[in-house]
This record gives sequence, C-alpha cells and structure tokens, in this order.
Amino acid sequence: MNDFAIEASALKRSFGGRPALDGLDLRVPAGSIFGFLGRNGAGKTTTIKILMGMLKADSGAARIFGVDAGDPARNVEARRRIGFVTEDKELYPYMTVDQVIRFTRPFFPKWRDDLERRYLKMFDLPPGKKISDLSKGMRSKLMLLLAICHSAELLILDEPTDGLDPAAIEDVLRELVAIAASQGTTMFFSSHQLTEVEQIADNICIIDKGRSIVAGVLDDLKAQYQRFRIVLENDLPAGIRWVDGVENVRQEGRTISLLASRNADAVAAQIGSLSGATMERFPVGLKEIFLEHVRSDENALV
Amino acid sequence: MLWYKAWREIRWRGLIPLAVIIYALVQIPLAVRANPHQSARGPLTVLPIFWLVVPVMMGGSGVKTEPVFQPIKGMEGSMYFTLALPVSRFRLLAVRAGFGMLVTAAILLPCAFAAGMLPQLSGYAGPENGLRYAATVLLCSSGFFGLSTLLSTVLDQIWQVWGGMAAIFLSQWLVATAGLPKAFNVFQAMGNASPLVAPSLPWDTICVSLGLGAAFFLAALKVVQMREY
Repeated sequence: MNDFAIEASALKRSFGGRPALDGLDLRVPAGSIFGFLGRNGAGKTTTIKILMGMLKADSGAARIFGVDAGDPARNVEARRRIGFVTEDKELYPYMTVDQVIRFTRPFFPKWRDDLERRYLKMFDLPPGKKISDLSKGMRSKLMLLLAICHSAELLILDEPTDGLDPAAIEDVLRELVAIAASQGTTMFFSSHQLTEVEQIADNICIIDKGRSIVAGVLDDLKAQYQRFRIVLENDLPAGIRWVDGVENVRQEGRTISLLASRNADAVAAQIGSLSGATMERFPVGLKEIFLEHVRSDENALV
Repeated sequence: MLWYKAWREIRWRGLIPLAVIIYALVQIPLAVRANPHQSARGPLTVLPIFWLVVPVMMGGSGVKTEPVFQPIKGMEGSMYFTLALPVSRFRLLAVRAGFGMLVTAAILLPCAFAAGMLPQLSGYAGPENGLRYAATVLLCSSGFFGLSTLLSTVLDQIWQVWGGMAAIFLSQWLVATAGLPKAFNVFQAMGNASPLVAPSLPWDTICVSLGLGAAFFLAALKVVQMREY
C-alpha cells in the first residue's frame, strides 16, 4: 500500500501566462486528515482539478494512490475510490435528492445503504425535493452524503462546510473525524475556516502563489512556532542578525513582536543575550501561522 | 445511469421540432387539396429543413449539463460532479450521443415514414415508400447530428443549436451556389431527389452523411478527451 494518498512534486500550471501553480510540492499521508489552506487564488482549486483529471499540469507530477493523475484511464479507476465535494456544490438541478442518490449509487459498487439512510436522516435531507430548490448548505450536505456513502478511500473536499450553519458544521466535522477513525479514510480538504481545520486536521499544507510555504504535522508545527514579545530597555544592536528560524519581527517603540518557526530555544537564548530585554513566549495557533505566511507585512523587519 | 441523465436532460427538447413536423405533415395534404395543381416539389423542398432541425437539437456531449431551453442555476457547476464520476469522457460522450441518436430516430423515423405515406408528396403511397424515405431521412441527417455533437463540446447549448441551424442554411447555400458535388446535397436527397421521387435510395449522399457524421463524432471525442474544465 502506498504511504501517500496524494503526491505532487514541482507541479506547475499557468493560465494565460499567469502562474496558478508554481512548483507545488504536496504529500498527503494515507489515513490523514489533511487541511489544504491558502488565500483565494492561491491555487487550491487548480490543484484539486489536476488531481481529479479535469486540468492538466504544465509540468511536474501529480499522483493519486501512486498512479499518475494525468493518465485518463488510471484517473477513472482512482476516481472510483475518491469521494469528491466540489467547490460550488452544484448537482443536477432537474433531479430530486432521491434521484441524484439513485443516479450516483450504481457508479460505486461499495455503496453503503446504511450510511445513506443515516445521513439522509442526520442531514435532514428531503428525498423528494428538487436540487434547484435546495440551499447551498443543503447541497453541501447532499454532496457529503454522496461522497461518504460509497466507502471512498480518499475524500477530496473543497470547502465542505460552505453554507452550513454552525451546528451543522459541528455535526459534519464530527462525522468526518469518525469516518477517518473508523474506516481509515484519507481526507484532503481545502477550507478558509482555519478553526475548522485546526479542529480536525492532523496535517496541513499552506500554499501561496502556487507554492507550498508551510507543510507538516499540525501538532509539530504548533510546537515549533513560538511568538515572542520582547520589551527593550535599550535600542536593538544595529544590524542584528537573528538566528535561523525567525520568520517575522515587528517593532513598535521599545516593544518587539517576533515569530519563530523553529529553533525557539535558540531564539530565546539570543533574546536573553540582549541587554536589558524582558521576554514572554506564547504558543501560536494555526490562524497566526497562516496569516504570518500569506499576509504581506510592510512593517516587518525580517 | 448516464442514460437516465441524458434522458432527463433532453426528454422535452425534441417536442418543438416534433410539433412543427407534425404541423407540416398535416398542412401538406390540406394545401394540396386546396390547390390540386400545385406540384409536390414545393413541400419536398422545405421538408428537409424540418428534418434537419431534429439532429441539430439532439446532439450533445454529455459533459456539460444541458438545459432544456434556458440555463438553470447550477447547470454549469454540475459539470464538475459529472467529471468526478468514475467514467471515461469517451463513455460520457458515447452514451449522450447514442441516446441523442435514439431520440432522433424515434422522432424522424415515424414522421418521415408518415411523410412517405402521403400520396400528395409522391403520387404513390405505400409502406415500402414510407420505409425507404424514413431510412433516407435518418441516414442523411447523421452528418448534422455529428456536427451538432461537435458544436456541443465547445459551445453552450443555446449556441450549439443556433450554430447547427446556421450550418443548415450555410450548407444549403453552399450546395446551391458553390457547386459542391451532388453527394453533399442532403436537401436534394431528402427532397426532390429522395426515394419519393427517384427510383432508388441516394446512396452517395447517405455515404457522405455517414462519413461526415463519423468524422464529426471522432472530432467531438478528441475535443472532449483533450479539453480542460
């Protein structure tokens, strides 16, 4: 069995000369819940479309279950093992909920009727209602049902909780974690909701301008990242060179805010060596890690 | 289940050409009765255009979700759901085109058979006449069905239909003015040189139509397989 459900290396794709993916590297461990993060236009949906065989990469490699995602025949076979929730949650508007389920079921031999009944009830989906009459939240739930019920080994979820109310989001997240735990399903989901990602993901990748800028096990990243608040009695030494791992330094008066992505102890030692400096250390959440990397900061010293 | 999707998307689409064809077939005997000296050539010249509207309306690629008459919210986006299904693009196209051909045949064969049974058109009415004319109409429309299928791979449905209609009139103009070989003249083959008038089937036009239909279908397949969404 392949260790990685999804692998991409040096993936490039541009539209009209504008790069959407600029050498993306990505490794999604099998069985993980993988949060794929980035701003609008960072390249998340382009990546997903390449993985699903809807777009071709200009160069680089994309593999699902170890097979080339750009090979149409192999991609069809891979899609049999993938549950997919699209970004816009659009289904056939002329079908009813029941009809779209009956339409989808025969494509997947491992369809589970018990899960279908369970989620129809849990998501309160009216079988006789037309898709065109469903809200976006209801369509999100229906797409999740369709993705989950065929016993997929990999769920690719593009903004899966889009349009859901907070209670429904909680239900969905809980179910996704339960499915991953009980069936070993790999979940690869893109989201803007960092709190959701932090709640369920065990691995993340943050992309910006088509490149992976942070990737790894979320708990490890959170342990590595530290925020330091430094109050100085004297001016910083001119031309100070911070130790490796300092990502961002901002100064307001005699107060400095510093983010370290690794080597936190070495950073603390360097700060301790500054004359008359007092220091506080804080753990950093996913939101802060994300914002530090994707937000351009004109006030940053590093 | 792709058949079910195709059926749901086009089940009402043939109604307009069907209604117009039935109206035309009813009007022909009435017009001839009102004016007994009128030649059958008039109706026979016009009828091919009615026949060709059917394949133009029924062509489709199966990738895009195809609205009946106007876009519905969500039509475009559901294409991604279709493309994520574990089926090849060849199968999407083949099932949709196959179903479109069946519906085309279901409309054209009985209607053209009925036309062939009208003594006002050929002076002779008999099942053999009807069968020969129905086969001619169906086979000669295959080129336009293929063209419509190809157009559907690159155009939205409304533009596909307009493009197909434009192709009908353009080809009619071309055979009238550009001196194309007789084998390309489907209007003659379905009209004044059809088996209703001529002693045999227009085999040359049938072969050209089938060849063009196959070429357009292969081109549509290539487009669907190469295209990005």
